[in-house]
Amino acid sequence: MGKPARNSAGFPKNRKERCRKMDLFVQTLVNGILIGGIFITIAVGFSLAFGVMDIIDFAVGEWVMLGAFTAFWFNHFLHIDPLLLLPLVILLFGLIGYLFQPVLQKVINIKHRSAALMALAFTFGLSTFFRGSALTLWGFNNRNLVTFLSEKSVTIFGVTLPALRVGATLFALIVTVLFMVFLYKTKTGMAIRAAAENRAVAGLMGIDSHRLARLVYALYAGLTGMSGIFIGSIFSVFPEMGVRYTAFAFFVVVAGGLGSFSGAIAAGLLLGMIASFVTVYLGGAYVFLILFFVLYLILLFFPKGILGKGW
Amino acid sequence: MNRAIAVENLEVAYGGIKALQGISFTVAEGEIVTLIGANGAGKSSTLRAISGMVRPQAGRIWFKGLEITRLPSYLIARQGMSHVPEGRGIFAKLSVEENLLVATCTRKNNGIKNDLQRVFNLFPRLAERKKQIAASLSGGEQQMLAIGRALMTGADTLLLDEPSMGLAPVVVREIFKVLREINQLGKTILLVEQNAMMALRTAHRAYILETGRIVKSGKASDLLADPEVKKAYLGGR
Ligand SMILES: Nc1ncnc2c1ncn2[C@@H]1O[C@H](COP(=O)(O)OP(=O)(O)O)[C@@H](O)[C@H]1O
Ligand SMILES: [Mg+2]
Repeated sequence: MGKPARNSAGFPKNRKERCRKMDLFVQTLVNGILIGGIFITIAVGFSLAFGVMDIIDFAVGEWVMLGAFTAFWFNHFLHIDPLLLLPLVILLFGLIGYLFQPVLQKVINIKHRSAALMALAFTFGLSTFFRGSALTLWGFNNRNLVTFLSEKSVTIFGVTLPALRVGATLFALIVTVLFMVFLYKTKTGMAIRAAAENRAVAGLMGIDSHRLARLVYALYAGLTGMSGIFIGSIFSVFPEMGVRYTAFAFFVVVAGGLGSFSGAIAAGLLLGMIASFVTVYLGGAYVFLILFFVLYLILLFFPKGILGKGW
Repeated sequence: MNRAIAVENLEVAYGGIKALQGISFTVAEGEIVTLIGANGAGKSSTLRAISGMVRPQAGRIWFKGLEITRLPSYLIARQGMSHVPEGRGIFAKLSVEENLLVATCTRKNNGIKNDLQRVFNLFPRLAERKKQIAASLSGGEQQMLAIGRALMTGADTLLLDEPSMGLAPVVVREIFKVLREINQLGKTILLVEQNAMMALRTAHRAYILETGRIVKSGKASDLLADPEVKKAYLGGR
């Protein structure tokens, strides 16, 4: 991850070396699970947006970045704790997504042989535009997003954990569970899953899949912007922070199996583990190398995703 | 009798290929009408144009007196028409019950429980498997699910695209028996089939389609007895 997890882990100083090694391992494991929880939030929305719109949104990382910056500036000028801004950022990005989706849909609907590629290029361009604008407006420097949980830690079963990570993951998981309940227990959720599987047939059932796609994109943008606050406060806020999350989202959707939500959850956890362990034991620079090597192996041995539920 | 469906000079093309070269026909309310024809004759294209899945190049389509020619498919469906597409189009990742309930997404809540029970009465095998994932059903059960789902929309008119395709004769008979029952309950049915024998025995009237044109039409019983039809479509029997 951005900064070595060692820094944030508060080890007891006077333990034996053996214990420290064990401690480090457990610490890394737990950190992996915690950060994986946040990836899952992004992954589920991303995977669903892909399902209903047939589009890989290359701007996903930029929604993370913009969410983080939104919180940063609100905090900077109004001194509101970033964590209290969660609902606001969800609503704001949900609204942006809702207003923006029809534009994206227009590009997808263009009657052209390479419409899918055009849509891909469009989101790629969008991501470049957001990143470039952020660089121009706010410069290269890293900013810290300090929350009321930032300096605190909690001890669970003898493992000391940064309170922010625990809180962020808990919140992310609650939101994800609510999202799943919506998807699996409500009629609209059922319609979304049906449309994700076959839009044309969903239309024959009277389902307006464009309206659903708009709703899904709004939810996805809201959740992703929200994740930006967590990621920005756990690591740091800078215009290029989104790039890695675009790659991560890509990893999660492909490794999880295209169109599989449970696969996306499993892949999100796996990603958290890989990122955490590679950072601690090999160094942050190797995360992408290992990640895409693992993706290669997954595609080789589980072409339908790790749970075998994709297309 | 009131017209459920009226089609006038319908033309459908895919790129340069003309699949339908201007066909006209009608289906009255309460009727079973069948379109029969060989593979590639344009049967599926006809249904797709009526339900709004493809945009016709020319021609007009009315449903219960309302012109629906360029409406999107979800709005046509909401008028009370349900198209069971070629290949059934079930939602494989949803459970059997969810497949049936998802069809009720846009209707009022009253009567859904009753309708679900009615579908389970028509197809007891679906009731036994209602919690299973739809992908786990056999071909025949998937066809039953697709028909059941169409009924759950509350539609009064069903378009069925080759419900017999790929199924064992005994299953085909079971499904056609249910189609007659559904019709007796008041549903209008436009049935597309390659299995001309089964279709003509079930329908009231029929149209025969050859390379995008209607070449013959009439009462199903008359066509069953027609020597030319016998020779070309019924294996000479
Ligand atoms: N999606 C499509 N793209 C191109 N050609 C198509 C498509 N669907 C059907 N056709 C062509 O249109 C003609 C009629 O097809 P179809 O309506 O499927 O016939 P049927 O259902 O009677 O077998 C065929 O020549 C077929 O090859
Ligand atoms: Mg066909």
